[in-house]
Amino acid sequence: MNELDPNDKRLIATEYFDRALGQEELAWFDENGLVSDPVVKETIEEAESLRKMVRQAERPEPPAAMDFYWQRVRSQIAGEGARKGRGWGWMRYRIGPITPLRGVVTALGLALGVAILLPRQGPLVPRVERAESRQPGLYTSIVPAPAESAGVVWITGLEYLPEGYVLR
Amino acid sequence: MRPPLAILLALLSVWAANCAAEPWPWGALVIGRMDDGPSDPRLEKYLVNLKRIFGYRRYEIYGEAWGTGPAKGDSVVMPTNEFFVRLHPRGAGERRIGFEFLRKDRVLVDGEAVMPVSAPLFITGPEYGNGKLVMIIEIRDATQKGQ
Repeated sequence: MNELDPNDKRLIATEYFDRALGQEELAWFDENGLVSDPVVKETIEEAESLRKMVRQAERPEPPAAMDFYWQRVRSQIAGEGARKGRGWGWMRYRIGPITPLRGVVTALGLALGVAILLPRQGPLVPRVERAESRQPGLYTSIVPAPAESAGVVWITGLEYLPEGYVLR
Repeated sequence: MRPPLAILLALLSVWAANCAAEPWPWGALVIGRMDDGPSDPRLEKYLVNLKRIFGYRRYEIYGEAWGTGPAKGDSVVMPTNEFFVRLHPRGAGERRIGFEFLRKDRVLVDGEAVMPVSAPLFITGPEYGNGKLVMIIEIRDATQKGQ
């Protein structure tokens, strides 16, 4: 088996360690005494020490950005999450530098800007298209007054009202 | 805040601003007089035109009122109980409004006009003393109601 390349031996040793060899491959491994091969032994020892180190390592803390969610999970487990979620708790949500308050202020600012910048229709001239008397003796005429930006309906024949007449 | 939410809030704000600026009819019954003296300061924006059209020197407000509803619906503008105007919207798009000028329960004149915001319609009323009554009807922004 010394014909095998050391890299091949490491590969086979890793698969052996991971119990990834099939029955025939395992028989072939044993028949050729690979388990006592120095390269294979070294590879298996490295793998074992790596596994040991991983198992003994402390659990990693969740990333800072996930703290909020872990808190939620913990409070839900403790049975106090649902009620605390109400009220102004939503104000704590944030995406990057943007908080809800900043978002609302930005949106209102944008709306105000749009309202100010929107073209406003200036005063236009009213156009009286029809004016008809509904009483005998009354006469109406439409007086165009475009220069005054006004529409005028002139009525003649109305009853005179003396000074002091109280319009109730 | 996510961008769509910000846009939604912006649109809601614009919509709210538009609602607040809803066109609303306003009217005043004015007496034009030949004597000199100060006119009603509330008529300042109309004075030049009133003088040019009707020729009287001084104008005072006998009564003024906002319509009973917005310009998009039926409305009654009652500056006095004796002379008032009923308005009915006619069609969409252009602010086409049907109007009736009444004295008490009698319709004196009815007609139809396109009335943009802030452009007054003057309806001459009867002669009054040594002057004349003029009904001013105007579509205004409802935001002016509190002023």
